[in-house]
Amino acid sequence: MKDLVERKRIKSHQIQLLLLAVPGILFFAAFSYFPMYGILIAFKNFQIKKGILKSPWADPWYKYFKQFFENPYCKQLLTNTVVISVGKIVFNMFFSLSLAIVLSELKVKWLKKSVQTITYLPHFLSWVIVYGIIYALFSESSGLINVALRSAGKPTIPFLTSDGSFRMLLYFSDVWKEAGWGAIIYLAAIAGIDPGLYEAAAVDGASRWQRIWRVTLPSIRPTIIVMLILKLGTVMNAGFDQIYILYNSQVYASSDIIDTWVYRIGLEQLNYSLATAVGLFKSVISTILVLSVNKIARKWEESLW
Amino acid sequence: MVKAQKTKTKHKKLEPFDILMIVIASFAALIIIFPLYYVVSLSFSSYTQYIKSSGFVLIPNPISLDGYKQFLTNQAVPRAFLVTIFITVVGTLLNFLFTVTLAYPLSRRELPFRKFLAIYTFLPMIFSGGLIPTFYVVKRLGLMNTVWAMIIPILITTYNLTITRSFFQSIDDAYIEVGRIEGMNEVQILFHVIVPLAKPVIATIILMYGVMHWNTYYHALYYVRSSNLQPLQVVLKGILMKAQSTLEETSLEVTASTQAMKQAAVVITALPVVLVYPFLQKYFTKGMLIGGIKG
Repeated sequence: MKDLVERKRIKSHQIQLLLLAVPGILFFAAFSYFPMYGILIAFKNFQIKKGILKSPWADPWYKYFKQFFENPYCKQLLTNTVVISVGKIVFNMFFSLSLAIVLSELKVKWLKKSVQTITYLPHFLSWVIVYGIIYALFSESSGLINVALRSAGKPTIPFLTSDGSFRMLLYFSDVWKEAGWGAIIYLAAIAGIDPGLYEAAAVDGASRWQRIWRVTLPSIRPTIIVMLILKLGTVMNAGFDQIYILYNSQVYASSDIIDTWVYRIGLEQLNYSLATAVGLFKSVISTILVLSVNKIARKWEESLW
Repeated sequence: MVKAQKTKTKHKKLEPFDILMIVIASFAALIIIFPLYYVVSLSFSSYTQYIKSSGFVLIPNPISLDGYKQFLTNQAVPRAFLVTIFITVVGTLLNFLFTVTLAYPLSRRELPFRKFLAIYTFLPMIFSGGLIPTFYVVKRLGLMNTVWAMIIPILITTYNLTITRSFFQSIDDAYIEVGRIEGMNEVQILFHVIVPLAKPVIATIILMYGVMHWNTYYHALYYVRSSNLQPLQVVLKGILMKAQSTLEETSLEVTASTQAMKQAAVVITALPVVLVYPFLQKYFTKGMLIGGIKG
């Protein structure tokens, strides 16, 4: 009898838990799962008034994919996306890792704390703010650097409007904004290193540099490799946020990426089917990358423990 | 006495290597601070100083508030503030409610269909329908051109859901059992037992969501066309852009009159984030590491 009451009580709590989850479940249904169904738009001559079901099928079904791959611009978009992504990964990892190592070697604690506080901050500023800052420093007419060049009688540099320097600006601003934040994970890894290893190295007469090379870096190698692998999984996302806000039509050749193009084709030119097809292509590649990359990362972690 | 000795030994230990580390770390901090400082300095610069120094204002003298006045009297600005504040307050509250009410059941082993629901909430992280299908949902739900278009599509972010759920999982079952024995229902347990015990993670997600809303830009870009619903970031971008297109080919005078205003706009828009940042910093390292391990 008591058992029955107890079971009933548990059942009631289980139902309550399920009910509690309903709003969240509905949210995912509407904004994650319904859009997956909406992928059909890529295979239809979609007209927004007719809706997904009533729009006629594209003929052939791969019409919009063909349109994209036959577009001479396609190759450039893919190249830009991958190059910018990889560039950002390389620069960002290098500076995050270096910052983490420098911070971990700092003996003056208050300095360590203040540098951490300062370098994490830009992560929370929006890209529009960063655009304002970049503008104040790098704009051709009134940016600090060009004002200085001009008063020194030297030619100005069009940082924001020439292909080569614009990409550098993308890397640089990404490092400025995110390197401090990225250092957190490496700092945590360094904090987890057995201090005995450093003592042993010191006894062996290793210099501080040698300790970094022989103890710190090898000890956090698993973290570095896992981070690298995970980042490679997101290589198709070159950063719509940053690029859309910073770029302009003069630098499309070097910095128009899949996401910015999809936005312009889809929401500015209202070619919904083509934009959906390209978005789908990107999603599929991303998913394959993320899944395989996770598998590799897991293998790496397993082989280490 | 002991303390004095300690600091003495500390100073003795500073080798050239340590000095080098200090120099590099300070340089890194300077790289972050200088652009921020320069923007603040420009925002307080006066028209005459700007002209006199041909745009090279490292120390504003005299300090002028003209830029701020000009920005705050811009017609679109008060409205943009209202929109952004509304999104931030209401949006964050809804984010909190939707995130904890989903994270709590997911953290309980006795939840029916738990495995299915775990996959259900995780899958969207790996595969998404993309921009246009999501846009179509927003349109079909009648959210286009409303403030809700900037709130509802981002009610839950997977990252915040994950860190909340893992924190809830680490709470001792005994607390929940006691609540149940006392006759509390699950809603009461969540809000009177779990949430108070999970303050660090709740603070983290509230601040994260808050900053996300304050910085909102893309959802306005995608879903909001009418100009009186534009949030602050969009208005700021407009101000910066407009100034740019006229600036590139005009004289120093025009530059001077807009430069202080533009940078005042940047400073004011960034200020709330900079002000909550110390609170945010208290929690995020921990939160990020929980997320890093789980995700």
